[in-house]
Amino acid sequence: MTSTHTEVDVLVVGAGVVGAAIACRLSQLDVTVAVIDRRHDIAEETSKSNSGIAASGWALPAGGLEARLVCASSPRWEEICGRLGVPFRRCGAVAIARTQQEAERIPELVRNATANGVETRALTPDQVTRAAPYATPDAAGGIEIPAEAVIDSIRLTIAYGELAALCGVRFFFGEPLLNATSSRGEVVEVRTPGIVLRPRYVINAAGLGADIVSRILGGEDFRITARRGELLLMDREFARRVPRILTLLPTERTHGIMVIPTAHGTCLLGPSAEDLDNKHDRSTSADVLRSVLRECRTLMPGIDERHIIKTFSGLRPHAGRTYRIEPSATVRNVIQVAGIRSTGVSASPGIADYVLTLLHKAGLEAPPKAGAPDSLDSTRPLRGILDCAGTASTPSGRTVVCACEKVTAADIHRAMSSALPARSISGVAKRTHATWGRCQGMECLPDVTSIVCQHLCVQPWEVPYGEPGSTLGVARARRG
Amino acid sequence: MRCAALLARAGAAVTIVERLSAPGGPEPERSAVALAGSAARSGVRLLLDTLALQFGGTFVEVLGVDGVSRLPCDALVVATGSRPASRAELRITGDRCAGVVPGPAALRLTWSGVLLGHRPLIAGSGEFARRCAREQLAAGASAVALTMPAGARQARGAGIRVFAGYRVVSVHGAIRVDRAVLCNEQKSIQVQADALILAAGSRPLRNIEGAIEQREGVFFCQPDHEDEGVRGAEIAASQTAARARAVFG
Repeated sequence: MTSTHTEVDVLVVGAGVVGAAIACRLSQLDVTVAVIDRRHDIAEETSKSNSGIAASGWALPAGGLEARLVCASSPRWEEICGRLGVPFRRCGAVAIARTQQEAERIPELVRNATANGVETRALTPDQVTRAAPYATPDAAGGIEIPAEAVIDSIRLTIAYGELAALCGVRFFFGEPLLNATSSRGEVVEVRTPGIVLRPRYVINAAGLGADIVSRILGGEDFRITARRGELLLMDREFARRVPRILTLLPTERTHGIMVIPTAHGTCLLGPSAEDLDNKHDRSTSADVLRSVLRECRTLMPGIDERHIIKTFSGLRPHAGRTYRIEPSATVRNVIQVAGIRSTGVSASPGIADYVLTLLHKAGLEAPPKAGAPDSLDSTRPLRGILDCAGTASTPSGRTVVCACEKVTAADIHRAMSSALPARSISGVAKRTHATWGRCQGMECLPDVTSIVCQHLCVQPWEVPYGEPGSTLGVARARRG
Repeated sequence: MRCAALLARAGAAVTIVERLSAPGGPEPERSAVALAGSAARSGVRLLLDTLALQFGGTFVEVLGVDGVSRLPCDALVVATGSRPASRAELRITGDRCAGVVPGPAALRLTWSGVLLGHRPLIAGSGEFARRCAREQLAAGASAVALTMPAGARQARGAGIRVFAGYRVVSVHGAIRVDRAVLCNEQKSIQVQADALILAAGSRPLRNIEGAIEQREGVFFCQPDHEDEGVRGAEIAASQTAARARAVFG
C-alpha cells in the first residue's frame, strides 16, 4: 500500500556499491536524497558477491571513462577506508603469463598501464618466482602491479550507506520501481509498492536492473545481461601463503581467474565468467567450480581442496556499452549510471564525484551541508581489533558468538542497531561475517538467530534468512 | 578433560580453556561431571567462558571475561571435537537459498522451537543423521528424507524415507530450498524438500588460528569418526597424551 508522498532533490535507484557511493557523496551536500532498492537490504545483488579487489586500473583500456574513474579512485582508498572503517590492504598483484605467446603481450600491457598512470614492472620468469614464490614455477613472465589492493566491498557499500543515512539520506528497501510519471520531458513522480516520490533528479544506478529502470523512467532502450562468476572461498590457513593477488594476464573479455587474498585474511579463487539470460541465477555448478580450481592450479600449484570454506557465485552487469554514465537523452532529469561491470567497487568514489558533476551541470545547486559527519563510528569489531590494533586494546566482557570469525554479541547488536541496520541473518553475516567461517554457522547460527529475533521482535522460526519469505523455519516446532 | 587429567598425572601443568560456561561441551555426556572432577583432582586448572583465539608457539591467546590475555605454554592440545562436513566439503552446489542448515545448529534451533521444514532432507552418514531425522519428526515434520552411504546402518521408522547409496549433489529454490538432486553411481533423482540439514561426514572442528594444521607444539585430540562417541574420545585422549608425553617427557 502506498504510504508516503515525498519530494526529494535526488532519487537514487539502486542500493549497490555505486548507488550507495552516490548517496554518500550527495549526503555531504545540502540536498534531500532518497534511495530505493527492490531488495530487502543494501548490497544484496552484485555488490554482495564480488572478488573484493580495489583495482588500480592498470589493465583497463587507456583513455576510457572506466579507466579514468578507476585510476582516480585508486589512490584515495587509504583515506576513504580509514574514515569509514572498511578493511583494506594494498597488497599488490602479480600477473602471470603461462605461455610464451602470453608473455609477448607483456610490453603492450605495461605501456597501457603507464598510459593510465599506474606503475608496473615487467618480470622475467625468475623475477616472478621472487615476487610470488607460491606462483607456478612454469611462468613465462609476468607483471608486478604494486598499487592493486583488496577491500571488503560489502563493508564498503554498507559504510557508504550508513554514512549517507547518518547525514539524512532516506533508504527504502523492498521497494522496486513500478512506474514513473513524466511531464515536459522530465520524470515528476515515481511509484513503488509502498511510496510515491517526487524527485527533481533521478539517478539510475540499478545495476543488473538498470535497463528495466531506464525503460520505466522513459529513458534509453539498452540491454543489461548478467555475467556469472563462481568463486571458492579458502580459509586463513591457505591464505597465509598468498600475500599478493595472483592473476592471469587479462583479456578483452575478462580479467581472468585470480587467487585473491581478502581484506579479512581469507582467500578467493575465481571468478569464472559465464553470460546468462537469467539475471537471478546465482547457482553454482560442480563443473564450473572444478574448472576454476583447475585454472587456479595453473597459477598456483598444490591448492588443497581441504581449505575450501564455501563456494558461491556473483552476478555482474554486462552491457554492449560499459560505463554509460551520462544524462539521459530522452528524459532531462535522469542520469544513467549503467553498464558498470566488475569495476564498480574500484571506481565507486570516482563515479560518485562524476555523477555530482553531471548533476551540477544539469542545474542542481548543492552547497556543502554544515556539520555533516564525514566518517563513521570507529568502534572496531573484535576481528578488526585482533587484526589491526593488537590485543592490548581489547575491551573486557565480550561474549564471542562466532568462534571461527571471532564475532561478538556486541558486534551483532551493533550491526542490528546501526544507521542502516541488518534485518536478516544474511544482513548480520554481511556486516559481521558471523556464520561465514570454517564451520559455516554450525555453532553460531542459533545464537545469531536469537539476537536477530530480539531485535526484530519476531518468533525464532520467523527470523528471515534474507529476502522476505526466506524464513529460517517453516513453523513452530512441536516441542519448542 | 580426559587428556588433561592424563597429562597432569604425568606431571604437566595443565590448563583447560573452555568457551562455554560449564565443562562437557554443548551437550554434556553423563560422564562430564566425573571427568571434570577427575581432572581437577589431578591439578588441572579450568578456565571457563574463555575462548582460545590463537596459538603463537609458546603461548595461547585467549579471550575471557577480563579481555584478551596470553597463557604461556609448551604445547597446545586441541580437543574441540568434530563437526559434520560443510556444504562446500560435501560439494553440494546449486542455489544459495534459505533452508540449508548445519546439523548441530539444526538440532539447537529445533529445541528452540524452530521447525526447519515440513519435509526436510538430511544429508547423512551415521548416528548423528539418524538422530537429526528422529528430532525433525518429533518436532512436527511430516516426512523426512535421509541420504546414507550404502553400507551404513539405515534409519528406520514411520515418516523416514532412506535413500541408501545416494548423496546430495545440489539444492535448488528461489527463496528457500524446494528440491534437491541426489545421485548414486548409476543415476540422479530429484527429491522435493523444504530444508536441507547437513549431517554427513566428520571433520575436526578447528578454529584456533595457528593451530588449524599440524605444527610443532600442537597435538590434535579429535576422534576422526562420527560414531566413535565417548569411547573414541577417550582413546583419542590417551593417544594424544602419550604423544605429548613422548615429546615433552
